[in-house]
Amino acid sequence: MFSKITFARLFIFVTVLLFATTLLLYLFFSQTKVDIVTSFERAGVEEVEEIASNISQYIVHSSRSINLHQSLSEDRTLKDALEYFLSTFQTQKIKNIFIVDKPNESSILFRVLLDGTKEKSDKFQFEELFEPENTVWAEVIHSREPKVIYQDDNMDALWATFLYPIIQEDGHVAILALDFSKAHYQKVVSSLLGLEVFLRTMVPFLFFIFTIMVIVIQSDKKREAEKQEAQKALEELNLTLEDRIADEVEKNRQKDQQLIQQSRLASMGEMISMIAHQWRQPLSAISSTVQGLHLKLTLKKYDEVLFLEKLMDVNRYAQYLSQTIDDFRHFFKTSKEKNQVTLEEVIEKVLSLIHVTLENKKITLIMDFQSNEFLMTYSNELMQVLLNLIKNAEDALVENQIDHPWIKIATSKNETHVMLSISDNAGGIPPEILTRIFEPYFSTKTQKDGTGLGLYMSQKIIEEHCSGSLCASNSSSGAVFTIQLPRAVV
Amino acid sequence: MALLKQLFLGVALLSFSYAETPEQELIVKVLKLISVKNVSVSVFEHQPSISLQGSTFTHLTEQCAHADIVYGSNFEALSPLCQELPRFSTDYEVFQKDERVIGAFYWRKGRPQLRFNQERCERFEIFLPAELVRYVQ
Repeated sequence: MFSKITFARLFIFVTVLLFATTLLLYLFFSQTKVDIVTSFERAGVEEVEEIASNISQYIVHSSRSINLHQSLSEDRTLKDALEYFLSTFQTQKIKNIFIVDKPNESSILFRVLLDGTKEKSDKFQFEELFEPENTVWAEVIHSREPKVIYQDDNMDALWATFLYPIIQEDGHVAILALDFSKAHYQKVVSSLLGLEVFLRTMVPFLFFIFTIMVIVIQSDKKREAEKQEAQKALEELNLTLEDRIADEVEKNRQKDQQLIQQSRLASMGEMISMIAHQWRQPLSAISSTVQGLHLKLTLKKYDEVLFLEKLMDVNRYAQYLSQTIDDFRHFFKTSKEKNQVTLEEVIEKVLSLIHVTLENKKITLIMDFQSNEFLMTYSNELMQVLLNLIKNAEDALVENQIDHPWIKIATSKNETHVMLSISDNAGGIPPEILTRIFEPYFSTKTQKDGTGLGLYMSQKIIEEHCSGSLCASNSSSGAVFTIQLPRAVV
Repeated sequence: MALLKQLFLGVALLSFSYAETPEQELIVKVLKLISVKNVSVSVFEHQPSISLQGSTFTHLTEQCAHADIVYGSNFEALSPLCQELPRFSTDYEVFQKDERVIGAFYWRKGRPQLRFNQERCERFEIFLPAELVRYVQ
């Protein structure tokens, strides 16, 4: 089994091997082809040359004069006999066979002496002028050496012309021209040329494939490296994810704790004020009772029954003070477990802490209890929320200096939930800030009076601890805060 | 797009219609070179083996009356009006025998041949430029 990279490398190796082999084959073959073709050519030309040599000897010996043209001019029978002789050499291999010479040295046209062609329409007449296709003809006259003319200089051309010089007795040179076919070996040459073209095409093609493969593999390697890097990063992230989540959760918890603590500290000041209000009346009652008793003792006008009564009053006041301390201590304790309470019980406890303050500020409390339904909740947390909402209403009423201020606390229920609403007649929350009042550190109160944490913490407690909801709205007279809590499952 | 297609087809047809064979090209060149009294010759075609119709030669005439030379073969069939005109043949035999044929273009053993007769050219006041003098026999 090969990996992707190994397979790619193997493929490159095979391509390079093929490329090199093809290149070597091409170079070797090009040379071999030339050798083969040259060998064929030579064999063909040698054969024609042999025929030409024989014809030449025969023609020269047959001539009755030292000059062929003169002999032929004088003896037409000789001309016919020699033309017949030439025609006997015409085969499928030798198409045309004719003899020409130059009428004079300066002439560029040649003069036909004999033509072995039988076909009349293509037969040269005696002394017909003939223009050769190139200067090789003149070169043969001059050099007296045989030469071959290839059609269009193409190796795969089907015809070639062999020019054989016939040197006459007077030194005049005639040319024996033979148009001979190369068809007998042309198939081999064509195949060789085809193979050469194939190899020549294969070399750049394989080089192209090799280049493409290198590019693809490089790109693949890069992508693979990126993939592995990403995978590694992902694995690291997975390994540390749980720790990071735990850290974040812990940070959030600590932040919440801090906020709660801040909120509690803020409420503590208010609590102290409330305790002061709570204690003022019993303390003055104790003080006046003690002063009354002291006066009776001074005037020696005391009786035992009155003393016992008054002492019992003092004791009751002291009990009340002690109860108040218990209530406040209890308020600051965090509920560890949910307990079964009714909304009304929670409200009563809160009012026991704050009613004196409200009375002193002449704020009327309106109760409308329609629930009386038990629910499982953290009652102390719920008390903290209620106290915060009532204090907010009180602050708004005082700040807006409302005539006949009132706070209404109402409870209701439906099939699944119990509802508690705290409304006032302080004018309501400005609509532009209605959506922001539950944000942390958002406050309309002065820096001294507000921390901006009360409503934020209240919503957090109701939603996250008590599984309910807290929302704010405006009625015609003022703000309405509604708490909705799930009913206890019986 | 349709206009471009038509233009392309037009150019292709025009190129095709003016495409000359090598033989046509050679004969056209010869006829363009020869002149009568320094004026290019107008040619009347008569049964030529290589027609100049569709070539770049523009001095072809439809009537002998407007021609300076007759190009073709089978000159015996020419109308009496045309009989007197000089001739350019595509047959060597005709060139040899017909005294009015001033020149010929023909093939011998796969080789193109061009010949002129100086005496006949002079008789018809046909001027052969230097390029053609070498073909005089």
